[in-house]
Amino acid sequence: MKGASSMKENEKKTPNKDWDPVIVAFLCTWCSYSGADLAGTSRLQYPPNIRIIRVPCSGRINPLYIIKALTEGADGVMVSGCHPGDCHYLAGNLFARRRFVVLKKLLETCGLNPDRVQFTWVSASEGGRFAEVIKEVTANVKKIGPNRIVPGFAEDCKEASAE
Amino acid sequence: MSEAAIKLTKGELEKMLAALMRDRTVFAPGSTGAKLEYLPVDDVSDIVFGDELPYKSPKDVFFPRCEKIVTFSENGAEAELPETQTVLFGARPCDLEALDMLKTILTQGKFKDPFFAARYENALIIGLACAEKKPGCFCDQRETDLDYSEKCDLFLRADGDKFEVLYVSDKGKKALGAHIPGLEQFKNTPREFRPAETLSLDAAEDDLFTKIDWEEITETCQSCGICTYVCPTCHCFMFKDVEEDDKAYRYRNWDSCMFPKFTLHASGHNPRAAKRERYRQRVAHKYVYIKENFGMTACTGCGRCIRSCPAGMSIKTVVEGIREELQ
Amino acid sequence: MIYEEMTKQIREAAKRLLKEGAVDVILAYRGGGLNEMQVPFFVKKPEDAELIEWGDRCYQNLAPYVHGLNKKVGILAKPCDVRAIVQYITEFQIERDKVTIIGVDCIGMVDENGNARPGCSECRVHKPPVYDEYIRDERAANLPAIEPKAGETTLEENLERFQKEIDKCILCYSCRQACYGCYCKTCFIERDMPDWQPAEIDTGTKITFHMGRAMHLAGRCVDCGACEAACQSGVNVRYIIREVTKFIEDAYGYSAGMDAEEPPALLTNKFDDKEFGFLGGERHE
Repeated sequence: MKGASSMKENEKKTPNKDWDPVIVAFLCTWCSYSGADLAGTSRLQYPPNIRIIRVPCSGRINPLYIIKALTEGADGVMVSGCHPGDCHYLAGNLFARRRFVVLKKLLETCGLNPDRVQFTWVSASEGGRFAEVIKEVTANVKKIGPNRIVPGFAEDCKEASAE
Repeated sequence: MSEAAIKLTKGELEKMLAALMRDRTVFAPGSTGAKLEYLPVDDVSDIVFGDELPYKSPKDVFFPRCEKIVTFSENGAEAELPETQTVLFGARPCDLEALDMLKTILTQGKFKDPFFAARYENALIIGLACAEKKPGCFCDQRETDLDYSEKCDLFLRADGDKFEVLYVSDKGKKALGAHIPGLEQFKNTPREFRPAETLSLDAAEDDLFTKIDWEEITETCQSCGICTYVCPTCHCFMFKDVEEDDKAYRYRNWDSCMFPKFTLHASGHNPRAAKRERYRQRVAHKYVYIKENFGMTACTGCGRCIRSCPAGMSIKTVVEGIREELQ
Repeated sequence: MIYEEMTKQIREAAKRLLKEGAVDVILAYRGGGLNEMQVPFFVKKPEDAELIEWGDRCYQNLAPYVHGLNKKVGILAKPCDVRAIVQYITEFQIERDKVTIIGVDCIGMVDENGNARPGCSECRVHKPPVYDEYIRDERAANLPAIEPKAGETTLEENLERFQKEIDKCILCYSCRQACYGCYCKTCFIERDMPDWQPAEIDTGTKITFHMGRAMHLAGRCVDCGACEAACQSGVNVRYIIREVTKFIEDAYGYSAGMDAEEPPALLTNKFDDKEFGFLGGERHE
């Protein structure tokens, strides 16, 4: 029974000293992406662990993207959109909100740490908040440890477990 | 079978299997959950003896559900033939019949499958007789003797708490002679099996296409494809190429003719888009096409598809209906 | 005894509907399956109605057959089938006036050993919420519960259970085919842009498939147990979908298939929805 208990064991392993989390951030182009831009132009410091993917709206994010990111070895996923009421498409983020809440419950039911996935709202003028959020998300993911949900997917996981 | 009869006790059989486990992978009926299936076992106590038929056929010992067959790199393509020595224990006569058919189809036809051939070559197959027909089985109508088979290396029949040797091949003698005293001198007594009736189709393909109302036959079918997954003779597969880092791999996975995308062309055209066409293909493939090409009907009557079908469809009833219709 | 009486009523109703021309075909059950199981049966002529059989082994969900059948359909429907049909209506898959529901009370189905079928022991809806014809069964449902009530579980235990279930899975997708709710023409797992299913069948693929499917069925699952019944490997991931669906019932007050007028929970929104688990938001207890 290959892989029978690997998932559990791998979740437990202590993080490697050199490990630095990889966090996939889905940002809505109208608010959060501009917020990130503002954080950059304002020369605000935030951890370099996030890999930003720009999407038209937080409502465009298929929960499968998040699941796929986790099974492919991302240590954390962050999703950010416009504040409720500010959506460029009027209600995209409101639909997304229900979906994300349910996804969190699903992750928990399946035994994957729901804190790996973080949702929040950042508007285009909140450069400072963006930096704060990234700091918080990175700290959270660092606390949980590296993603070993599927062994053998991410190269750095393999190296870490070999040591 | 007078003085030559060899009987093994369960303990002796377990000892033999345990000895084989040292240098071979042993596949035997076992269970991880609700159902019995053929699993690689490393402890004899995990093997489930008894008369229950595993829900899945043992074909995946020789033809795995997913298999990496070619690795592409800068140095070209490389295929690695499987070398693991295996033992398949507890295959039933219907499965042995089916494995023999697969061997014919995959190694003696126009196209040869070296992976299957290598696995078959490296395997030692130990068959086991069925004590009785299970609900759904129709092996007697499909020319399969549930009590005897020569399509293996060693054939056993449970007799009380002992196992009687009924057949042994030369390969079996060589590999198992050391474990079973008297096996090398054992003489096989061939048995002839004459079924009372045989369920087969002699229909022309045209008649199957035009005279049968497949729509009505398949209206309850859900196209779930479980019949093809549990079938011991279904062997359709698909390839998938994957790129990883600087290498690429070609995988071979099982496919099922019950899935709508099975025949989907790149142009978008699908010759078998409706389930009536797909089910017709399955029946015709088993009962007509393979007969035309290899001279045998690729259904052994194991009844797995009948037991598994969530909608309660039965290939036996369907074929009987067609025979009646075409008479 | 009661089943014979109900069978008689069902046959009469079916005959009448077919004679009146109110329906072209009636989906029902007849005997003749393995282990005395009743199998799905398409009744097209009034005289065939005599073959209809109702009993405690009619466990196949008939709703999926309605989907894509371009006819006036009558359906013999247990409460879970009715809920599936209602869900189809709310999702604009079929029109209410094209389907005639012969609702029938159901106290739960059993298998050949007399045990409750998947889904039946936890079932709470024993009377069809919507119907055109109604077949009554006065008995109270009292199938023993198989699964113990889920208490507080840790993440670790959840992971262990999920892992145990998906290890058995061979990714044959029977659960999807048997499911009333999986009616997509092309399932996400079969799409290749993006390629959800890598070639290798490993834990990651199984997680993606089962979690993806659970996400798609969240709040829409009527808990008919067809997925578990169709699975030959004995995988039970229905409990995940049930947990999520229960959560949606708590959080948004939506129960699948109870009201044809109400939009599914994830297809609608409210401005003041709670933000459980959001950064700085509250937690669901």
